[in-house]
Parts: sequence; C-alpha cells; structure tokens
Amino acid sequence: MPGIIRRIPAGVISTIIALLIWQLIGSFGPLAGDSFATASEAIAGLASLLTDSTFWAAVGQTLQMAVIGFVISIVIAVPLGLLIGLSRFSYRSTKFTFDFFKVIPPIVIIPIAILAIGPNITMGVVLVIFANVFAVAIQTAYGVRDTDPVLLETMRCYRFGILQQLLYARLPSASAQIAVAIRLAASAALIVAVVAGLVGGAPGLGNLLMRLQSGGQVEKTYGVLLALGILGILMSRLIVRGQRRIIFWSGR
Amino acid sequence: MTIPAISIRDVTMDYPTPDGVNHVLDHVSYDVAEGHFVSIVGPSGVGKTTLLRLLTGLASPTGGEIHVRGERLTSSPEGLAVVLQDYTRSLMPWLTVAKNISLPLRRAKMSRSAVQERVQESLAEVGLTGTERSYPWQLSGGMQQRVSIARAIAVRPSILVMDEPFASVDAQTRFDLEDLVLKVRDDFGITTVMVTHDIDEAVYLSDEIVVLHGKPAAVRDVVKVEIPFPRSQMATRNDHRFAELRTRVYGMVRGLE
Amino acid sequence: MTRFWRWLLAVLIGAWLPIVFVAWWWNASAESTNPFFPPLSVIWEQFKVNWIFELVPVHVVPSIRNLLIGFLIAVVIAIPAGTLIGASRSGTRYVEPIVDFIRSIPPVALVPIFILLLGLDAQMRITSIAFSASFPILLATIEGVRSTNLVVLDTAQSFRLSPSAILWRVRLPGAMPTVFSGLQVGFQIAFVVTIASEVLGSGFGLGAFTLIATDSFLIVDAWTGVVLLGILGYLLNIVFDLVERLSLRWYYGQKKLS
Ligand SMILES: Nc1ncnc2c1ncn2[C@@H]1O[C@H](COP(=O)(O)OP(=O)(O)OP(=O)(O)O)[C@@H](O)[C@H]1O
Ligand SMILES: [Mg+2]
Repeated sequence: MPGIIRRIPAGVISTIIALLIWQLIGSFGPLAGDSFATASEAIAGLASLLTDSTFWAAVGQTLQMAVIGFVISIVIAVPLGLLIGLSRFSYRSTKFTFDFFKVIPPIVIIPIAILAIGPNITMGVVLVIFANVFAVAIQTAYGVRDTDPVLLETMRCYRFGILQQLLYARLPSASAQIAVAIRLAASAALIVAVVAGLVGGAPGLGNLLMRLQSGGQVEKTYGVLLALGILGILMSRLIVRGQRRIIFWSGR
Repeated sequence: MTIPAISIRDVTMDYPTPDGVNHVLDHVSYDVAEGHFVSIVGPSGVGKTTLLRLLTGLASPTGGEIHVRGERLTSSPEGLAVVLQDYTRSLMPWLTVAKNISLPLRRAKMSRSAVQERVQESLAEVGLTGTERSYPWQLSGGMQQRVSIARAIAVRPSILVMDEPFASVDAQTRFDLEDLVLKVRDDFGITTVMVTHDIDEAVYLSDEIVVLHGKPAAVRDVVKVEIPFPRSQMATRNDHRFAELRTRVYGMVRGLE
Repeated sequence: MTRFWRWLLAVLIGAWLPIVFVAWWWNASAESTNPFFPPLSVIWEQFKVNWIFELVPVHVVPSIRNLLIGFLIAVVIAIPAGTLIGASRSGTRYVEPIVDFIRSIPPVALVPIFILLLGLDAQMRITSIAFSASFPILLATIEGVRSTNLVVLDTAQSFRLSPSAILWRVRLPGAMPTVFSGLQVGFQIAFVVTIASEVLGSGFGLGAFTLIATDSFLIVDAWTGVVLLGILGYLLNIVFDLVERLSLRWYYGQKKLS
C-alpha cells in the first residue's frame, strides 16, 4: 500500500488534500455560508464556465491584452536595453529613471489610462507595456554591462568590432538576464491584463470576475479564480520550457 | 638595424586605487626581435599580466611607449593571437568548440571549407579531435585551455601572446603542447611572448628570458638561452647548459642573486 | 574629498534625465488645453493644496496603516510557516505545488472574494493584503531554508550543534537573502492590493480618492493622486531597500569581495 502511495506524484496527493480541507472549511468553518464556495462548488462553477461562451471570450480578451502587450514591451525593451547597456554613461544615466518607473505598479496609472484611452483592450495593452518595458530594458542593459570582461578583452585582441562584440558576446551573455526578465514579464502581463479588467473596466477575465461577484454568482466567481490560477501555471511552464531551449549553456 | 617586432620603451604603469596609485611597472624597456620566443618570469603579482595587457593593446601605459613593427600601439595590433590567463572565461559558452575556434577566422575571407579544414587541423594539433561539437563547459579545464590554444594557432598569427598557457594540463600534455608551440613558431615564423611560472619551461622554449622583479617592477635581467633549436624534451633538458640556466634564473626570480 | 566628488558625479549622472523629463513635461504641458492632460503647473498647485498636508490624515494615513498591518501579519505568519515547511523535505514536496498555484492567481483578483466574505471595511482590506503578500514570502522562505549551503550545514553538524541551534544560527541566517527577495515581492504586492482594495471597496484611501476623482472628472485631482501614488510607491521601495541592506550587511560584504 505505501508503495502505491509513493508512486503517486506529491502534487496530486497534496492537491487532493488541499481540496478536502477547502471543502471542510467551506462547509463548517467560521466563514462558511453562501458567500464562501466550497471546493466542489468552485469546481462546479468552473465547469459551468467552461461551457459558457462569455467565459471563453473573456479568456481570449485577457490573453489578447497580455500577449500583445507582452510582445510589444519585449520588442521595445530589449533593443532599448542593448543600446543603453553599450556605454557606462547611458546605463548610469537611465538607471535611476527606469528603476523609478519600474517599481511603480501599473494600477497607479489606471485612472489616467481610463481618462486618456478609455476602458478597452488598448488600455489593457498599454498598462501591460507600462508594467514591463522599464524592467525588461534595465535588466537587459544590466546583462549587457555584466558581460565577462575577459571575454570582451579576448575579442578585442582578435580585433572584433563593437558590433561583433555586441552580437557574439554581449547579447548571448545578457540573454540569461533577458530570459529572467522575460519570464517575470510574462506573468506580470497576465496579472496586469486581469487587473486592467478588474479595476479599470477593460474587458476580459478581470471584468467578468467583477461582474460575477457583484451579480452574486458566488460559484462562478470562485470558478474564475481557479481558471486564473491554471492559466498562470500554464503560462509559466510554457515560458520556462522555451527558455531552457534557448539558453542551454546556463544551468550547466 | 632591423625593426624589432615589439619594442617596449620606458613603460610605466600605475593603477589608481582609493588611496593614491598602485605603482606596478617602472621604466620597463625591452625589444622583442622578429621571430623570437620570449618568456617573462617573475614572482606572483609582480606585474607580468599587466605587461602583457600593455603589449596586446588592452591597456595603455601611464608612461612610455610600445611600438609594434615600428607603429605606436593604440589598439590590438594586426596579426595578434592570445591565450589569456583566465582561459575558462575567454571561450564563449554559447558556441561549440569548433565555432569558438572559427569565429576569428570569419573575417579572414576564407572559404567555408578552408575554415573547416583549419579548425580540424588546429584541434588535431592540440589533441582534441572529436570535440568540435562539444561546448566549452562540457570539457575539463585543461581541455578548455587547449581549445584556447587551438584558436590562437588557427588564425596563423604573426604575434602570439600567452599568459601561463599550460598551467592546468598534465605533464605529458604539457610537453606535447610546448613542442607544438615550438613547431608552429618554426613553421610560420611567429613572434611569441609568454608568461610562465615554470622556469624549466621558460628555459626549454625561449630564445630569451625576461626576469621582472621588484615593486614597482623593472626588468631585472635578460637571460639569453643559447641552446640551439630544434630542441627536444629529452636531450635539451639533460643538457648541462639547461641546468645552469635554470639555476641562474631561479635565483634571479627569488631575488637571491 | 575624492569620494565626495565621485558620489556627486554619480548623483548628477543619475539625475539629469529625470530633471530633463520633468522640465519637458512642465513646458510641453504649459499651454495644454487637453482636459485629460492639464499643465503640470496646475497639477502642482493642486498637489500642494491636497497633499501638503490637508488630506493626508484622511486618505494617506489609513492606506499606509492598512499596508503595514497587512504586510506584518503576512510576515509573522509566512516566515515561521515557511521555515517549518522548508526544514522538512517531504513538507516542501507536498506544500509547494499548492502554494505555487495560489500564487499564480493575480493577487488583486482575490480582493472580490474577500469583499464577498468580509464586506468593505478595513478588516477586509487588511486581510486581502496579508493573504496576498504571504505567498511570495512563504515560497521564498521555503526555498531559502531548504537550500541552505550543504557544506555549512555539514560543518555545523560536525560541531554537534543542537537542531534548534542549527535552525537559528545556520539555516535561518543563510536563508535571509532569499527570504528578503520574497519580502520585497510581498511588499510590492501588498502595495498594489492596498490600492485595489480601496478602489474596489470604495471609501477612504488614496486609491479610492484617485479613482473617485477620475469617475467624477476631477482630472487635476486624479493626477495629483497618481503622482502621489507613484512617489509613495517609489519611496516605500527605497525604505525597503535600506532595511534590507542594513539587515543583510554580511551578505553584501561577501558579495563585494568575491
Ligand atoms: N585592474 C587592476 N586594477 C588595479 N590593480 C591591478 C589591476 N590588475 C592588476 N593590478 C595590480 O597590479 C599588480 C600586478 O598584477 P599582475 O596581474 O600583473 O601580476 P602577475 O605578475 O600577472 O601575477 P600572477 O603571476 O599571480 O598572475 C598587483 O599588485 C595587482 O594588485
Ligand atoms: Mg598574471
């Protein structure tokens, strides 16, 4: 018997136990009641969402904001970071400013985004870009500056030009940093896309969650949360896998 | 008089430190003749690597001048190849061994097949045939160092600068590599400057040995090794002149003489 | 003296871009008639009226109080829990997937649930903050405690330190850098959730003020709120960095050496 148990992955066992505990707390705990969905109710809520086209539309809109915003921020931030990282002066000049904007959460600028853009997909995209562009740029720049000086010296001895140093040494060497930044950016993109709907009224899962909650649809509200968790996990798995392929030389 | 390959004139080097300067080299002067093999020896921290950095154009001296074939050095000279002390950090971990070696060749306008051939040949010479597709970090330290030597000889340099190139290989490989370096020097007439801690090695390989000593360091002595080429590991090392020279240089490095 | 000049140079290099940026904003917006982008000078005048210091006790103090209380609760719960879980290998294996899952849910998305459960008052806000902030701290503590340097651990065991001494003197200090990175993430999340809980919960607080101003088209007021939130977000981050640097002096010293 224990042998069989040991062969079941830990994640499965703990998921079952966690669901059981949730079920118990939801049924008998101090907050048990109409507004506390039990595990089974939440799963039922998720199941009913899965057959609901508004849910899938919302998933699509959230992913659309997250992916478009994510891609645009990478396309802007990585070349920008490479450029900034090329000289010590430009790196140090921009570091403070970028750090400043990096730590300001996008939720802060939602009021302005609502005014200037309105509660739509574009607003979500803009918020995702704001959330990521500074962090990715500064991290890229840091990676470029952090290239091993011995490697660069070797290249200088063999008379490689600045461009070749960038292409063959600085860019690959920064890629570990860039990859970390991109991974963080991907999960941030999803979160911000949800927040844009939740707080800023943009379409998507955040908005759906808000409407379900204020409409008193408790089970489905919890169902959306489960869906968000699953989406988040899938997203990070996907990114980690892609990343291992591209930067194979680190983590040797 | 012919122009020396490398001419070091009154070179002084200071490193800035938080409290003043670290005076490392003081009026170092020396000429490396075309085609010669010169070893630089001296105690650890004396400034050997610093001198090499100046020769390769990686740093500029605080005072004095360096000329390569009559031209004042401002950046790394044409035809230079290097094997740096930190060999593990001088190979690119994202390129295979073959790509690492062929990268400097790409600008030589060689055909793709000629590059391939050159890479194979260089790898064979350092005894690493079959590692083309490996990545540097999959090799041992000594093997990485040999890759870095293969890269250097693959470009057919006219000046080869090496900083303790054989420090982490086993004794047998070390002998083989020493002979390899002598052979390519003969084949292509390469001017070679090498830093080493191993005085036997310096005597075995060199036309001249430069002894750095003191703080700040100056050229304490230049020892001519008048043992004829070609040399051989067995015969040369048993030569009575070899033993004498080794004792002399050893004394100078230790400051006994 | 030279150290002072070097420091001054560093400050100047870091400061010229923000100065240019603000100057540009000031000039470019000076003639602005676009209602959504009022002149910076107007925003600044209103900023002085609102936040120096008229409305601070009403809107800023409660926000910061909630933030700190919620964050402290998260710390007090998550670090001991993470230590226990991290010290046991199987505990880690079983708990980590669950924690990982909950952490993948955008923290702000939990706020509506807490509104359902607890209503709209400060208790709901603090609970949301504490709950959301605790997961990154928990994960980081587990990770930090679990990955204690094995050589150090072996050495400690060879000195025959008691298990509790190993925990207090070896594992926890060794885990501190990782724990702090979790604290930092937790703190940022706490800040975001503070704002979100006010926006979604309506009422007092800087977040609520700003969004209500937006909805009522009090655009200059909204801008002052955004600017203050930005500054607060940055300052809190700086304070956090300082605390971290002071607590982890040994760690940064070692890193500098290597
Ligand atoms: N980049 C640098 N900045 C400041 N000081 C330096 C720098 N590089 C070397 N030094 C100093 O210069 C002196 C000589 O160093 P160098 O590396 O040239 O010695 P070395 O003879 O090559 O020693 P080893 O045999 O151990 O390699 C040392 O005192 C060292 O501290
Ligand atoms: Mg050296």
